[in-house]
Amino acid sequence: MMLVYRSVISLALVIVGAIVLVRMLHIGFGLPELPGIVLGVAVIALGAYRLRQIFRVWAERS
Amino acid sequence: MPDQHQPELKRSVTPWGSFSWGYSDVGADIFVGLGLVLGAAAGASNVAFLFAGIVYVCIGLAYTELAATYPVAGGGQYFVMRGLGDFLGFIAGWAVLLDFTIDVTLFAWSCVDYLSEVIPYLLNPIHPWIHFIAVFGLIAGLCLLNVLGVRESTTFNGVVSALDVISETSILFFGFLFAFRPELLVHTMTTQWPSTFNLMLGASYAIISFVGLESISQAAQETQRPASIIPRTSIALILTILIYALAYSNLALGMVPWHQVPLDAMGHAQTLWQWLGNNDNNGKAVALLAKDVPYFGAIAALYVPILGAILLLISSNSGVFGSSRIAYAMANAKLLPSIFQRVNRRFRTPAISIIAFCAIAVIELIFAAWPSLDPGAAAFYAKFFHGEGGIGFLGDLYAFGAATSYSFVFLALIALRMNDPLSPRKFRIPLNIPMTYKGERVLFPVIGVLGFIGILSILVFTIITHDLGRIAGPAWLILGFIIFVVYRRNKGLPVFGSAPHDWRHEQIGILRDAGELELMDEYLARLKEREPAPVAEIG
Repeated sequence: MMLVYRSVISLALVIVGAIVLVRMLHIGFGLPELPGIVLGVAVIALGAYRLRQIFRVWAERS
Repeated sequence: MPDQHQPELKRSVTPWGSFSWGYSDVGADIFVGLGLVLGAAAGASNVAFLFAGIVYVCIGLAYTELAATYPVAGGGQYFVMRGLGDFLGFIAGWAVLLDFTIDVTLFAWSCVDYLSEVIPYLLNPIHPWIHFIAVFGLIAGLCLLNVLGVRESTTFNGVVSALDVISETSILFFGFLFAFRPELLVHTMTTQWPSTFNLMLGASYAIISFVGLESISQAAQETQRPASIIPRTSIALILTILIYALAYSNLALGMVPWHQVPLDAMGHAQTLWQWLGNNDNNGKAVALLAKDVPYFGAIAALYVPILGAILLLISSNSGVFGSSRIAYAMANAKLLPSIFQRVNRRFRTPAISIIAFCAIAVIELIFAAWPSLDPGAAAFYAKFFHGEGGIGFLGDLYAFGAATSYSFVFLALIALRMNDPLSPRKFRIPLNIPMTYKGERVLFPVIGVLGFIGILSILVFTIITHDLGRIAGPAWLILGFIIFVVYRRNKGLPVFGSAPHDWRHEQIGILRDAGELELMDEYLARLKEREPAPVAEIG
């Protein structure tokens, strides 16, 4: 149950990160857009990191 | 060390319990920090969070390494004492104690602010006495809960932390999906960039959004297999909190609100971030932001104030827990009188410490609430402290205590890497320079130096920008110094020097008590390589 909960949260984070990144890149790739781009990448990275951990636990259990 | 008949703290905190102690403390900080930072750093709020966040990552890594290597209840205080001696250990511990007592008051205060969204009688600007009594009642209730035992609190923390992670992710998900305008973010950053003074003020407030990792190391003495669990929970915690703080600040600056933002006190139009950062709203900024997320805001308006209030209450609870545990550890190390070391035989909790530090939290509450309760005091605060009171006063002291103790923790990290290379480190901060020191191969931590420079700059920002913090913070340290000198003289112990410690013997005991038997064997083997005879004696 906890794995499902954590997977949903992590997937949501990857989607949020992708939304931010795509929308920021859509308006430009300069210094003013940098904070948003960094945020998008960071959120995707966090979600992906968590998903990797979940897959590892899931693989160990099965 | 406690005598044989003295009851000790029980190891009842699980991995999720360890995470949730930290999350409920650090995770709640954004509920308070967001409004304060938006009010101070305006269009550069996300930059202030980023700067403080980078420093926080360094702090988090340092705590992770140290707490996994030395899993004892003292946390920062213990690391500094072990690395830099008794006196600096006391100063660091005393600064952490300031933070924990502020934690109790600040989060209880903000909890009532969030509740005022659903119970208007609790609004501080309109009913200051009711607000004051409610905060006081919460502190008294938490005091009682903690005297009764830790296990109940840990379960409670775990459930609410899980709900909060869902809630915060949902706010960000729907906020970025429906209301975020990248052009608005760029426009706000370009046109509303603050002065250097305000950026420094914002950065010093932003660090309070990341205070609380101490809770994990505080819980280390009560965590099962801490050397294995603490790195796992800490890194997850560091990344989660950092990303949430960055995401909230960017969303607040670049979001088009669902509802029209009310006019300011002068009748002028204001933006969302200005509204969230003003003095009436900065204590409940996340609830107001959530309410303005399109569609989702209709549901969020009903539950976010309550969930936020519960999380803040837990964070306040972490302050009660942390302050009593650090006082317990400091008394154990003969830095504070032994009365703080006493564990209640019935509940197995340090009841005297809990009651003492809750009383200090109430005193801080009185100082914070005074200007809103008495017009004379309001005039005095306005004249001498630029009207800083309430949540701003508490935030000042919080930033001061955190920056002071964390500065010493970085120095302790470096000193312990040099002087104690034999203790097994299951987690080590990356980016190290190998070198030889006193005949031993050691790894010099570059991140420790960078983190020290970062946190020292935040301490300087705090002293420059906070009128009350630069008086009340050092005053707290002077008070502690007086207590320390009187106590150590009475006990015939050195004031500036250190009492004799057998760290090697103690490290073996720490690892054995923590159930880290493999690490204990590894440590004994390393000792045996260097000094076979004395180690055989220890064994």
